[in-house]
Amino acid sequence: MVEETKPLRSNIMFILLNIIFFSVMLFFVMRVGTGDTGLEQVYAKKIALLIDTAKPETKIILNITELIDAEEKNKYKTEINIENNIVNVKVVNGKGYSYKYFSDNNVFRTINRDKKKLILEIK
Amino acid sequence: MKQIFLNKKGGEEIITPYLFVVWVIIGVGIVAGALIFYSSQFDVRAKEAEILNLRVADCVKENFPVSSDFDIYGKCGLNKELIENSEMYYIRIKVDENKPLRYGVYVFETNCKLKGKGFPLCYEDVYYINKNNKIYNVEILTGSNQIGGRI
Repeated sequence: MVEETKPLRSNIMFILLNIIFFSVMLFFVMRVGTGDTGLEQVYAKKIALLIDTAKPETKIILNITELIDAEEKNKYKTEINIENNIVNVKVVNGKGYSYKYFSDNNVFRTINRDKKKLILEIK
Repeated sequence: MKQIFLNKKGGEEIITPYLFVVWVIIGVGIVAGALIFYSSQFDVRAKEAEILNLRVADCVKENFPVSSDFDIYGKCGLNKELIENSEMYYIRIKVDENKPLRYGVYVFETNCKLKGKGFPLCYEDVYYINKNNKIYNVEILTGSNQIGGRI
């Protein structure tokens, strides 16, 4: 009786382990695509390119709903720092993601958390 | 030798150490694939080179004709320190058959033609400027090799 149930138990274990393995893989792929790492990178690059494109005396209003919504999930206040020609976006505690911009114009940034907007003023 | 094979027990062992080896191989493949796919999606160097090109074209047009003493940084609002010393940018302005003006990393001119990871991406365009009833050909090549990261 014991001998007969062994292959069955082995099969069930095999299926369970496969499900766990592929679930972990799926979770990883989804997290890389939509996770905080990607979010920091996308917004740092987006902001840097916007600054590079803008001419002096331009005001840019960027929708940052995703960054503000991530605050509650991560329990961390999103930081967007723009200084020394570097845009740094931090969604979780750590170094954040940095991207440089070649424009020499002065950039002033304001975060409106209520409206979930980032306001960039190029001078 | 024959004896060994005869004594070997047959059966269907499903969970073996080889199974874990196969999972590791599949896992490494999926992780590497996902990272390569998403990192290439976020690569904005080509767009950055295009933006730089349009920006330079605008200010060359405004300050035409440009000569070897052309202050590209002041006139185009570009950060000199970053263009000259960061090893990430290249700008070449060529008006008709005149000697081109070059700024940044000169080797990008060759490297941009090479395919592969680590080589810069460039954008080249020709603009026509009409000055005193004469049309000038202005070729502008710009390149970027900025990767960005957690500094």
